[in-house]
Amino acid sequence: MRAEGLKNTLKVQRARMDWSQEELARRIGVTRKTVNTIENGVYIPSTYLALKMAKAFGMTVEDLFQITE
Amino acid sequence: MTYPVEKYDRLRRRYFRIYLLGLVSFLAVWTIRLVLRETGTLSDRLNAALGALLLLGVLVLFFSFLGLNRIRRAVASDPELKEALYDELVRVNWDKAWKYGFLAITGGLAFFAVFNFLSPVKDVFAFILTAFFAGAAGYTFAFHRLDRS
Repeated sequence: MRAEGLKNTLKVQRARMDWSQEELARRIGVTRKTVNTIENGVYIPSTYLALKMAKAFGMTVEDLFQITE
Repeated sequence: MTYPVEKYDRLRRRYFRIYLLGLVSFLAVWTIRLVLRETGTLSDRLNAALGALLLLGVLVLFFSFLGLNRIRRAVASDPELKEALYDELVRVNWDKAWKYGFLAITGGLAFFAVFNFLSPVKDVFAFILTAFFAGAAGYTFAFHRLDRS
């Protein structure tokens, strides 16, 4: 499923934490490719993975993913 | 330190590309040989040449299968590594690829129906087998495309 209508702040949060995609992938237990496809809006993660990402950054899912009007 | 999943992911993609190449080559040669045999235009020399190509395709498939199996075995002892390598994106792509596999089987059976209309088929089993090979190739190709997107 493509992430049209859904934006994320993954890149910003990664930059804030100074994490590479690989570092984030390692922290949430997926491949770098998966992080890349989510970040670029190619793939919408499951609720579980979205929560893991938010937890890794220490924020809520709503801060990480937003629906665009 | 490099995240070990990336090493295995790159390896898996490499073996998977080889597997796809072997499967598509095998299917192409198999189909050509079947059509020539059914139309009675398969000479002994051509049959031997196509047989050799089929054997080569099987060897490529076997080699890639061993490689993929080696990766599976390497990550089997580490549940976290296994979970990361076969993460949800990979599983979603596997599920999506099934649809294309079934479409390829349908395409193979449609080819069989058209061929039978033009020239009655003698070896029905071989055509049904071809449709299944097409399904396997369709599934593999679709997964490869999804994995690259």
